[in-house]
Amino acid sequence: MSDYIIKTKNLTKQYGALKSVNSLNIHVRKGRIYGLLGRNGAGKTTTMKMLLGLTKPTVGDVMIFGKSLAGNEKSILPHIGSLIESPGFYPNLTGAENLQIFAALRGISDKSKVKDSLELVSLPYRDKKLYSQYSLGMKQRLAIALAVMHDPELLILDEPINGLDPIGIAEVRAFIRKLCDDRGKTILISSHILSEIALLADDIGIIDKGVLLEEESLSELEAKSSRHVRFTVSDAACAAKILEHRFHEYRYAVQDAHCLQLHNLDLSVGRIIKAFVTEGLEISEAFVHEESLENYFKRVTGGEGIA
Amino acid sequence: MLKLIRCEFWKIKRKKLFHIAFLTTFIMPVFYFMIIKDANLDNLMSVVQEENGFLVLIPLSIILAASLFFEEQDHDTLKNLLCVPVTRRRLSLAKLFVVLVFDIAYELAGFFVSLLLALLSRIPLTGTGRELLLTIACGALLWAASMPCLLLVIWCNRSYIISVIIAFAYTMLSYILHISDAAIRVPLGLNIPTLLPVPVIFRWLYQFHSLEDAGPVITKFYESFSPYFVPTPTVFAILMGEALLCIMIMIKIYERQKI
Ligand SMILES: Nc1ncnc2c1ncn2[C@@H]1O[C@H](COP(=O)(O)OP(=O)(O)OP(=O)(O)O)[C@@H](O)[C@H]1O
Ligand SMILES: [Mg+2]
Repeated sequence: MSDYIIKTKNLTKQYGALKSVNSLNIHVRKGRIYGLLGRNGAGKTTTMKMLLGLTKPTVGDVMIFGKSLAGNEKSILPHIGSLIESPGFYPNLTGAENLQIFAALRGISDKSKVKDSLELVSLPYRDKKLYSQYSLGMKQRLAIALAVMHDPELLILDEPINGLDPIGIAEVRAFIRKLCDDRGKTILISSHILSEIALLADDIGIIDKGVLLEEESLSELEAKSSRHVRFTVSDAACAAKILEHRFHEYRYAVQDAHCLQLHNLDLSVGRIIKAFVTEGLEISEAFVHEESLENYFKRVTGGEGIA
Repeated sequence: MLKLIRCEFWKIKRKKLFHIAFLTTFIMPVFYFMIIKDANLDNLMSVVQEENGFLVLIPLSIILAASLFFEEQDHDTLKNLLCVPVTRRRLSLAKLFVVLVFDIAYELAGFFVSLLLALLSRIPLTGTGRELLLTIACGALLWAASMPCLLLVIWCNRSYIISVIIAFAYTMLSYILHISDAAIRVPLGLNIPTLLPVPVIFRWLYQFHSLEDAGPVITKFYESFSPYFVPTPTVFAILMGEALLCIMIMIKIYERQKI
């Protein structure tokens, strides 16, 4: 579909025997914030590098703006702003001088662009401080300024809030949100911090060991992850029919012969039980299951702790 | 491409290595001027062209070029450049061009210092124009002569220390070769000495020495050496051909390197 800004097909990157990214199919929709969520070493950075043509995929294709990236780098890349891993700048120059170099290379003649983008990340324009003397957070801010300086359609940001203080994080979050809502930019953002993605993203892809485990909108994910009612009944298939006919409810999953999960908590559990009993089902358990997004994430990535 | 070259010059700003390197061009002529009593312009210039060039400029330009190439990796700026997009081929060509400008400027600075010293001590200025041309040509040829070694440095892709060692080893080897008969007293043709950069430059440069104040020893050396002189078009063809080949391989290697 053409309204996908980024679409990958079986994207795979193999380093030696290790598949860092394995048959990844992600779909980033226009004007949305897509959060790529994964633990350390999951393959987020590798994926983004392939999206920018910084490393060649072992197998698979990247489609950006509906065109294949391979062979079209020259026309595609100028419309992307990116921040991959740690910020990289020349230590012997000031922040503004660093940005001026990239502005010149990008053919930005408007001098105020450098100033504007520095202001955006609250870094001073007239500052004698060299990049080598910047703090980690300042470096990160400069990298964000570089990513947005040329007003790109698509932003690819790899852990952009790394090293920022809480106020900085909130600022960057608000600013990314604004870029998306007011300016219609599409943003792909990666993080290993679930709460960060949950606060910002519209769509989420969960990646683990190079494999995309889930891809859905945040609301879908929340529905799926957080709360459901688990019924243990004498006949789950029959219970499902009752839900469909009497309640017109289809958001359920039959786990096995006796177990059914209902993902809609707006329905009254009492009314459902009453209906089940009226239809002659035996109910041994009805349990409202509340799972935090975090636990869900742990469960799908099969992991223990995550930051 | 012009933009890239301009940016490469901006990146040099506040780089001590470049500034200090540039200052070394003054050491040799001044030193020579102080120890030699009756120096003439020809001698002074040949110090700039030969000793300064063969011994100082070659390792310097290799080290500077290496630092230009490694800087993008060290500071993780290559990814930002590639995303612009800038190709590695153009980036390396821009860097090599900066080194070429540096080499010529370096030789020219030495030239003007010598000229100043000559003026101050009332040494007659003869053939200044020719010396100027020779100095510029030397800068370009020495740049070309450092390419094979730079290729090695980039291929190794190691730390600065290793690069410095390689650069000095290459310089020493070249210097020894340029005073050894086996490398310079061989006629031009399809043989190894014809391909050795520094000895070939020497065989080209030596023919321009003036024999005016020369003693019998020098005159005899000049005469016995004259069959092995290399004409100007030939020296340029050999060195630029070699440099071109090295640069092509260099770019291939650079393009393969991971981020
Ligand atoms: N150049 C490389 N050579 C070999 N293996 C690599 C290379 N780059 C990445 N890997 C491996 O690929 C896997 C995924 O790495 P990647 O950097 O994409 O993870 P990530 O999701 O960005 O992790 P983090 O949250 O720590 O940034 C890791 O196991 C890593 O060791
Ligand atoms: Mg990463």
